[in-house]
Amino acid sequence: MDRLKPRVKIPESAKPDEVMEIRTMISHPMETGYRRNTRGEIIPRHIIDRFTCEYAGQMVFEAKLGPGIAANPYLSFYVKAVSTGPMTLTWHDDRGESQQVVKQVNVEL
Amino acid sequence: MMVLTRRRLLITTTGLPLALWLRGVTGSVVQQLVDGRELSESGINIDMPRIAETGNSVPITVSVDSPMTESDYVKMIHIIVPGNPEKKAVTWHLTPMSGKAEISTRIRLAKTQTVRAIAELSDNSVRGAGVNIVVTVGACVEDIWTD
Repeated sequence: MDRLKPRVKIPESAKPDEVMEIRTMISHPMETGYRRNTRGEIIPRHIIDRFTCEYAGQMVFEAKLGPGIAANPYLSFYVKAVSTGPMTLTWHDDRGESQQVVKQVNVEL
Repeated sequence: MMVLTRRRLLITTTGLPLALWLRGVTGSVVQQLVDGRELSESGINIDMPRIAETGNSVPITVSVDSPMTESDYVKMIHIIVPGNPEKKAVTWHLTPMSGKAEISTRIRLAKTQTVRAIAELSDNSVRGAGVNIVVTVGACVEDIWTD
């Protein structure tokens, strides 16, 4: 999946219990598996079908995606800041490949 | 002036929208998710443009009113697209660590249709919302020239 280049926006620092907005976008065709080429052959499905966000030692958010998600999937959600540590975002596709981004979040008063 | 028709009378007096909602094209998918529970139409909102020039990428934000605490939080939000080849576009799993039940993405719409959001909460209750989106040019099924 070298063509996948995730772009993420995660606050570098936050106050305890602050609700942080996480914005992500990854380059991916999200080929639906319903389209045909000029020879009438189905173009095989190739989608990102799962996204996870791990932080503070637990899975805080997960998405199960279908072909109804647009190409280059954009996703924004919220996570509560509780402790300083890494936030790990992982995209999995239906060919068993994955891409990961790890960012440090500093939580202090 | 509001004309009182038989239909309007029924809709405004009997909670018929919900019943129609469940019986519609989305029926089976929504019914499966709701699983016999009472579906509430309040405390959930879909924010998206009512007209999409192309169905290839339509922004959508779903928000659910919830304190998002250990004892009271939104567990799952599903987006249902009844006019697409696959009726469920996405399922999001939230936790009390989400802090706020609001999620944005971009979806494909094959044609004009009513996009639904269904939220499942930690107390086992379910909420649902729907908005009709007019799609000028659909997505998903068009052929492409590859050679």
